[in-house]
Amino acid sequence: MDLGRLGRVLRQAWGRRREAVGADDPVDCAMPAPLSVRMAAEVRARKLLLRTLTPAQREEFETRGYFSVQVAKRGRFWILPSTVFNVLHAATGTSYCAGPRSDLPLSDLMLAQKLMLENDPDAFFAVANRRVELIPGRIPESLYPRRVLQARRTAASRVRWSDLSMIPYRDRHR
Amino acid sequence: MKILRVLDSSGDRVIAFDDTEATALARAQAQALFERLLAGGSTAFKVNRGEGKSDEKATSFSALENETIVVPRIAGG
Repeated sequence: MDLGRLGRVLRQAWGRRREAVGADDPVDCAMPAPLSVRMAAEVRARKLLLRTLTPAQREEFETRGYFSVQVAKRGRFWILPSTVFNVLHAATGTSYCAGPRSDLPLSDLMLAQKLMLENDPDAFFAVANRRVELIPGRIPESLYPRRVLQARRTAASRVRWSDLSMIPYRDRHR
Repeated sequence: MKILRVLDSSGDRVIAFDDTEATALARAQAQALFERLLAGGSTAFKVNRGEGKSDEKATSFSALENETIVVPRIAGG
């Protein structure tokens, strides 16, 4: 398919989405920017993120691709390079999902989450959705981010602890 | 020079201003934008404050320091 035709197909598909969502919603109805523009935005956002991280967070981010933040009265959280459920609690393995509704580059999302968690955590947790991502105690805490990222890269569907916990205890071993 | 950064799809939008007469218009625009964004649910943070100071939430335009990042209103994903 040539690029012109692909562009027309994408515009038509987006038009249908626009009708479905409601044309007066400026956030959900905005046409996605071309890839080159989005890449430039990501580069700009990454520079800002690196400049705003603490030296320890910057080192962790540059070597591992994620970084941790210390949240008052709640402990340590990792912020993973992912757009959904990317805030991982070190003590429990619970993932949280909250961020700006705008179509931000990934690095901006991670920066927004860092700033909210470190300086206004109550506002973050008031709106965040959460799910239990890992079984506490089954793997060392330091491996949580890597395990979550590995699991999300695999195509096979996973059974989550939250799904397992829906099974009544008396039936689990049948 | 003070910098107000508003996170958006292009990375961030920058408005630079200071307390001199030369940037009075930019300062007024920055103040109007800052107040409108906060009224709409955005949150502002003073960052890169120097002297080992940690980032801090900002609620007043007059208290802004060298660099401020405005995070659009967040919602559960």
